[in-house]
Amino acid sequence: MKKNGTTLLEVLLAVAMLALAMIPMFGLMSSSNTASRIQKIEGVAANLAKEEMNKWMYVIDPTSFPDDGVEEYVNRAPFVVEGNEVEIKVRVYRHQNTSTNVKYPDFVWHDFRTTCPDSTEGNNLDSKTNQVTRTIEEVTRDATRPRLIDIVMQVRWKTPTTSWSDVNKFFLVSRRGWM
Amino acid sequence: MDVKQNAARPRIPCRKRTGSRKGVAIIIVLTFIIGTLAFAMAMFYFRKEVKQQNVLNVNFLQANFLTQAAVQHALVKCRILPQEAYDAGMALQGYCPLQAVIVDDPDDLPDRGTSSSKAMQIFIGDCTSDPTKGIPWDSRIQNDFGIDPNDWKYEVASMSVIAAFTKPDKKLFVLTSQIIASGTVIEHRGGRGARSELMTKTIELTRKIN
Repeated sequence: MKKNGTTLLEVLLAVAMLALAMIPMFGLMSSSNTASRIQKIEGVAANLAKEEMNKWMYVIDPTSFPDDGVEEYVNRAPFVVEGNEVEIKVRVYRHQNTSTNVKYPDFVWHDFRTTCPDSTEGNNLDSKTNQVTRTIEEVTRDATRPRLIDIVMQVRWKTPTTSWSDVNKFFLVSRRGWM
Repeated sequence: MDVKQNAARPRIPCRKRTGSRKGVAIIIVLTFIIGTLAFAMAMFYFRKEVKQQNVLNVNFLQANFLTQAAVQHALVKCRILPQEAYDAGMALQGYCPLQAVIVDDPDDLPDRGTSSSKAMQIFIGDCTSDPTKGIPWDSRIQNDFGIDPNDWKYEVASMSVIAAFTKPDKKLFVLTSQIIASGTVIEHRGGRGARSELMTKTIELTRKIN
């Protein structure tokens, strides 16, 4: 009798230990499942953001860009992938040609016919080169077209069971030249 | 027949209980728990690895688009100041920017004179987001998104000339140039520090001779 009683106690203890170990395990597995979904959609979000940024850098005509500093969805609404959502918003900032300066070299005049035979430079141009600073408007004919446009893309993602969070977010920043 | 066979089967003696089974259940359960915990740990580290890979991918994208910004900046400058770009390239090569470089015999190239990099340094010097040297990001970006401009930088590292020649039949000066741009981002998410990328772009500048 004494031997049987010990075994029962032992089994009860074992079951209790098992339960203590398994309860957090179930919690961990549940949170792991959510995290896996989040990580999967994060990868999808990065790919979508890359495609969208490429479009805004090289494909979309800048005349179709939204107004200066106005936020806009790239797809009018969040992308939905396997029930998860990816939100990509973009803002553009145009640098005004009237206030944006460019620097360029200006050579001091020297008689190249006597000092540069057969296209070989016979002068040390370091001492004959000056730096000039002008606004873009002063050096281009088409002054109305903003030549440099900053593009900021904000990318966020979430699963159906989570809410929008600053943790699940990144930015892409670039500058487009309007040729 | 069957009865006979059964009767002929040798009897295997039962193993005699030699020790106590006391404590066996706990050992089994502990083994199971250790195995389960090992599985959980493996799952945790795998998840962490995937997370790090995602952060790396995003960091790459961020730095890569900054280098593209540098290339775009340089291209805009070449577009709005083509003569200055051409002259700076010719000075870098040691050729007079005002004269044709005519090659009749590829084995007998014109001599190069004194190379001067000053013009090129001036030309690419402001192709950066550094506010002290070039054109900074629009100030509203920091207010709208809380982005620190010091964490997002690009610059044109160099612009070298790889070929300069003249096409007399087309009355055209041609200069092939290579732009090397770099972009660096410090993304605080993931805490991996600065990430830099380099990009090379080859362009051809031409100058029409009247």
